[in-house]
Amino acid sequence: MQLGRNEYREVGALGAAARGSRRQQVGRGAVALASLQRLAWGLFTFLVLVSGPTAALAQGTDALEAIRTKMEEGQGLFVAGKYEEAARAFEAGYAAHPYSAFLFNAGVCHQKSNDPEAAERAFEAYLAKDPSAPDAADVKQRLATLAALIAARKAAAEAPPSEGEPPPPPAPAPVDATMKSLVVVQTEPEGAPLRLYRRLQEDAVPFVAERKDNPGWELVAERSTPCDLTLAVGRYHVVIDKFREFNRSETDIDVSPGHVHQFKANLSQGAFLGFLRVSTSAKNARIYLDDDGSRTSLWGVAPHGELVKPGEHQLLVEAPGYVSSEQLVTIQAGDNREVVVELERLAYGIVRLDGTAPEITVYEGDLFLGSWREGTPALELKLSSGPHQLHIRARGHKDLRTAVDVPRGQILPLRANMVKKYPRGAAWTQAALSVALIGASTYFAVESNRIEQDLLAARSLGTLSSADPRVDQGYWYSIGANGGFALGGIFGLLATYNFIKDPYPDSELRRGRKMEFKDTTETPRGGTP
Amino acid sequence: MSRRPWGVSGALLLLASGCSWDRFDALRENTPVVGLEPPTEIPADFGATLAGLSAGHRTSVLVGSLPKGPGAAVYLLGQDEDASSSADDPDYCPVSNSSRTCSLALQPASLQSALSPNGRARANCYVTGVGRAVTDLGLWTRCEDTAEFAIPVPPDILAEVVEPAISGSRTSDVALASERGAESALLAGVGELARAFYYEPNSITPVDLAPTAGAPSSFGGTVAVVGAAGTRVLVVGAPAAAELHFFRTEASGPVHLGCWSGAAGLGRALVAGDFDGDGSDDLGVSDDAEVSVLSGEALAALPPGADGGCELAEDAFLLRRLECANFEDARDCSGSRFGAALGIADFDGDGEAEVAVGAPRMTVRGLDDAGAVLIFDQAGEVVDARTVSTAAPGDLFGSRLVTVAQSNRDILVVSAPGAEAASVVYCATIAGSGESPRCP
Repeated sequence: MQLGRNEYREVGALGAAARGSRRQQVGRGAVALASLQRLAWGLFTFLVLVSGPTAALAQGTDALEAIRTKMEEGQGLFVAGKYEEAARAFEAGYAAHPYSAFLFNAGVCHQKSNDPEAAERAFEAYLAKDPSAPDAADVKQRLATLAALIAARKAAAEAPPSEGEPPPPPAPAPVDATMKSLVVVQTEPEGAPLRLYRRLQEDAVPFVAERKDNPGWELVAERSTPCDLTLAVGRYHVVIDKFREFNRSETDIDVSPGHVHQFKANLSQGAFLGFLRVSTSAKNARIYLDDDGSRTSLWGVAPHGELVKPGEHQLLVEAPGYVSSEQLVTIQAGDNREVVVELERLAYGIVRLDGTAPEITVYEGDLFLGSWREGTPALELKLSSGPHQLHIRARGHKDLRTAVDVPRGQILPLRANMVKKYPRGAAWTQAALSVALIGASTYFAVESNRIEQDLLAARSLGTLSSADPRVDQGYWYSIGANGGFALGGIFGLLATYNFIKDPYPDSELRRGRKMEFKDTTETPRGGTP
Repeated sequence: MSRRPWGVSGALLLLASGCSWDRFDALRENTPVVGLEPPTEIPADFGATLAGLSAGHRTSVLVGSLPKGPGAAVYLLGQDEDASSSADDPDYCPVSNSSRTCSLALQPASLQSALSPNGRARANCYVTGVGRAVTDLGLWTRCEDTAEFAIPVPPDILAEVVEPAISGSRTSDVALASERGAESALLAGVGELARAFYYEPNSITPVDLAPTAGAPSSFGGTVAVVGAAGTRVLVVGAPAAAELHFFRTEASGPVHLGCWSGAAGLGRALVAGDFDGDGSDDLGVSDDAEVSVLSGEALAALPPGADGGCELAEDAFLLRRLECANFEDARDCSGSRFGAALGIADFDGDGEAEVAVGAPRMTVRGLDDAGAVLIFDQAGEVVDARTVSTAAPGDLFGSRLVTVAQSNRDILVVSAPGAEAASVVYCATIAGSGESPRCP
């Protein structure tokens, strides 16, 4: 059996105080679903600021937005006490969007501005537009009052002048200044019989359709869907009677001043249903209901609510980057159940890495994780969540050792800004020179020492000659050794300085904003986990 | 492992700290041997001739080239550390000059005092050869005051030796010798002509020396003057004949005391010096194999000889006979030319003389013909062998040697013609060398 599917949504509130905050509110709004009793209502309620033809409302959100603008303009002026301007705004709204609510509200504004003739014209137009309005009797009473006032004023104006003070014109009767609201009811299919009851007493027991007598409630309208109704503020009970093979549906609604209530009802085929709404903290969580594991029966994307058959349901919620959640949910007929699923992030994350070097390799400790080459997609590494010590290397560039905190179930974009190594050619040259000089100096020093020993031995034997060339040889060897050591030391120091000197900054890792997985089964490209 | 860098660093530090060149400056100062630098005027054959002069604190040495060579230079040695290795006067016996021409003697002589032909007394002169000085011909002499003169020679020597030497047509080896002391006779010999003549102290009149039985060949090839027992014995060698002829000077003239004929080569080197400490010079003489030390007093006491042959018996005057022996670094006596040069002096300052014998072809520290000077003590034993640290093969160190006096000992001046070098050897290892900063 095909279930009916119903939605409601509140898109705005009438009046400056309620403006904005109540817009786009999903779920329970100014229009309260008093109960989902035996028949299911899926209510998708748009609160707009104008009333108008049902067909026009069906044209879409743009039309509703235009109506809302007009209604807000008039309502704002009304609240500000600029009744004449408010009346003109409502009349202009009616000219653009011929909903009777504009006429009624214009009439009220004229009344407040003490213009009974204009008010009379507006209410007459209202009745002409909607002769079967639920409040037709009340409007007629207003017209009568206005007519009397107009007549009294006319009489006073035509009376001969008397001495003394002229008689004051008759004062207007107190005005009921409450704005009317528009209620639009649509069904799928159309043509369903509609009854609308109004609660007369605050303490009246809830309306029960099966009961013949519902004290405190009065029938205010009987129509067939789709229809639009201009209603006063209060609680109403909507009943769509059994229609063809569709079961009866009913619900309570609270009508606020200056609202448009739109009801769209997909009528069920007779089963009693419960309403299940699933929400989760994860974005774009996919909800599968009673799925056989093939993931083919997508129920909705969270948050999602829908009428479901009473009974036990297998609820599967999946979101990218989260561990799938499965649970059994039991729905009773008429339940309005909301299930909040707390999804837990995956125990791993993906590091998406590229760099500024032509090719980089990534290690964790001695473990090779992967490599990336310029011109290829970023390297994606599936790593357990938590801190990781990554060692990123690139030929001719400074190594980069850094800690990366891998998020749970998210993608962490990283860009290794690899800085080229400072050229060490001069340092190596100086080091080589230093080694060569020290090596040569060592040789000369050893030789000079040996020569000295030989000369000392010759001296001790009394054979050392002043003409012995070894004296000069040793002398110059010593100077050479000292000079070599000095030069070697200088070159050594220069080499050391040039080995240490590094004006270039260190390679660094630039971290991008964490990204969500695109898919619940997302796996990294390349690399090894 | 961790100590290795410290060890290496320490070694390098020690190596570096040991590299001071000052230590070689210290070695260069007061070396035991001073090499005499050849002057530019003597570009070749430096050290072929030697003569020494000790007059008080003036100690000098003449180093020259070969007789045909460019000349000689005088070096002032002073006392130990005062020694100069540079020539003090390089103008002795120049080869050729417009007014001076000289040919070096094979064996020059020194005179503490000399009388020039013009009758002026000169001091500290070297009679270096034959030639012309100003206008005079004869024995070419230069003194410390740079005065040059020629001591007259016999006419036949003038004609056959001096004039040919000046003209360059022929050069004859001339041997000269003088007596130690302030008043010294001068003895000259020309072996080629078998001629010898002498001059009394402060005399420029030559007196011929002729053996009673005639002069043998090479007579005058070597000469020596031995002052002994208040007289002097003139010794003239004839190495080719292996004869030594002795003459005693007397007021009436020289008296031939006789002839001693010995082993082959006898008389190839002669030297006078007080060996036995009796106050008289003794005579050192070498033959081809040995060196003999003859008593000067015994020689002076010889009676005039008969006209017969060489019949003097060595027993009458022989003090010691010295034979070549290996000593430390000096090896290989065979063919060593042991006895090429001789010196008798007190090298260690102990009051007893030693004999220095040149052996220029000895092997020193494995260097062939590097040469050495063997020092013999009174007992005739080799007690030292003098070499130089610059020894090289073929140096022929010890070819010529002279002794000069220091304040507390005598020292050697030895030439090495093979290296064209001459060295002042200040030290001997025998019993110390007195108080000298040069000697260990």
